[in-house]
Amino acid sequence: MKDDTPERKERLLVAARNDAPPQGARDRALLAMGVAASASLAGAEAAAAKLKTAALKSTAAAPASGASLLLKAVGLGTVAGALGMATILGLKGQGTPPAREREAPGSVVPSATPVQRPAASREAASIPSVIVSPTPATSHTAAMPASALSAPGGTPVPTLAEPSSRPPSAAAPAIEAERALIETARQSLAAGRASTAIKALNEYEARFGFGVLGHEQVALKVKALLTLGRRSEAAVVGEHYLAERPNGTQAATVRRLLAGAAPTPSSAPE
Amino acid sequence: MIKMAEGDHRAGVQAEIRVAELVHLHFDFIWRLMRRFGATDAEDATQHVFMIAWKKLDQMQLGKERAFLVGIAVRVAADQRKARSRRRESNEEPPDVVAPIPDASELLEQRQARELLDRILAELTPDLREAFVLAEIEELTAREIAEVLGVPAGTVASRLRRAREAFQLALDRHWPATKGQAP
Repeated sequence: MKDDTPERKERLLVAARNDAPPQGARDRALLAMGVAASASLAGAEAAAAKLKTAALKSTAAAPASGASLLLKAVGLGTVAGALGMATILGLKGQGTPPAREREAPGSVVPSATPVQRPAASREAASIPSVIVSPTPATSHTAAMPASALSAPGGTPVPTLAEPSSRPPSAAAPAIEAERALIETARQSLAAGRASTAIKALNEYEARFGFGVLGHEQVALKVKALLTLGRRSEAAVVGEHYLAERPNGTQAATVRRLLAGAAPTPSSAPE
Repeated sequence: MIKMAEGDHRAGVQAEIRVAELVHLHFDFIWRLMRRFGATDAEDATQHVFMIAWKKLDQMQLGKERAFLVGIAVRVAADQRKARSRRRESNEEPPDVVAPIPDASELLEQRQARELLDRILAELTPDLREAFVLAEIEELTAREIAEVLGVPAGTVASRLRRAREAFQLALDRHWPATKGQAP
């Protein structure tokens, strides 16, 4: 009998290697760190030059060289990301003193929690049933404007994960519809249109119930209700979610939103 | 006096460019590490890693930036674990319960695979988890791992061996072999 152990293991490892931060995460980090647009651009150019050199070396040398590993780790789109940063940061001058001391993590710019999406159904403890083919990691070729999703106290609110670059499947249309509604809500909220966000989130709930992006729907709804000052409704929605899914992917965010507290800063080695 | 101020300013700008370069080169890599190390908020933790790197820029050797960042990432992840543990002890936070493995679907297969992987990794001790992630996922050599973790190469080899065994056991438990056909 053929042992499929290597295949099972490799499927998991490949999926992990293909994992990528949410779109715009790198730009948000630079922004949160207080790196000036000009410095970001200069850094991106230096990074791009380094990548180019590494690519040339890897072409000349063995394919599994450190250079190719570096390329794999980094992905592409460095310069484009920096250009996005310039757009986000506008005219921030060169040499702007950096924010040397970090406040609460994510307190400057809300950071997006990388979403561990729930699947369409959690009934069965089944395993991935389709062989995962290696696909390139999602590259950040375009910077996403930093979302203005800041809860009272700077609590981060989840944003959508990176758009999938994988081939569409039969399940794709429903997922895309869910994604579109959540994205509409997220952008509306970022633009200060909480009522519009709630409409989209209610539509989501009516169409999909607690769908694949149900965790995100709840977190955004709590945030939108709080933005409108509808605290009691936010509490009902949030508490219901926490009661049903105390360890849900957005449970911590919902708790922070309801508590009106900033995210817990993680202690760091100094 | 003015000259000194100009010099400080120039050094500050250079440091800023340097850290931006680091972010552009290594952000995704560090983010993935934080995810697999079990960070509660990988993006936030990744920002933290780069902030610390910025503060310690003068300690970073040229050509060893990646190892430097990995070292910080390991410590940040360890600190997060300790903080979580403290919160649990004081009943402020319920223990992490890994969500059930969801049904397979083509669209979500990679996410499911990652969830399964994270579930398995969560069963490894921190030492084994770090060694496994660095070797098997990020494909660092044993020598590189020894360097970033600050332990002897023999220790890395031992941890890797035990990590692979533990991983295999957990994999078989969560995802039993199908004996002859791909799942």
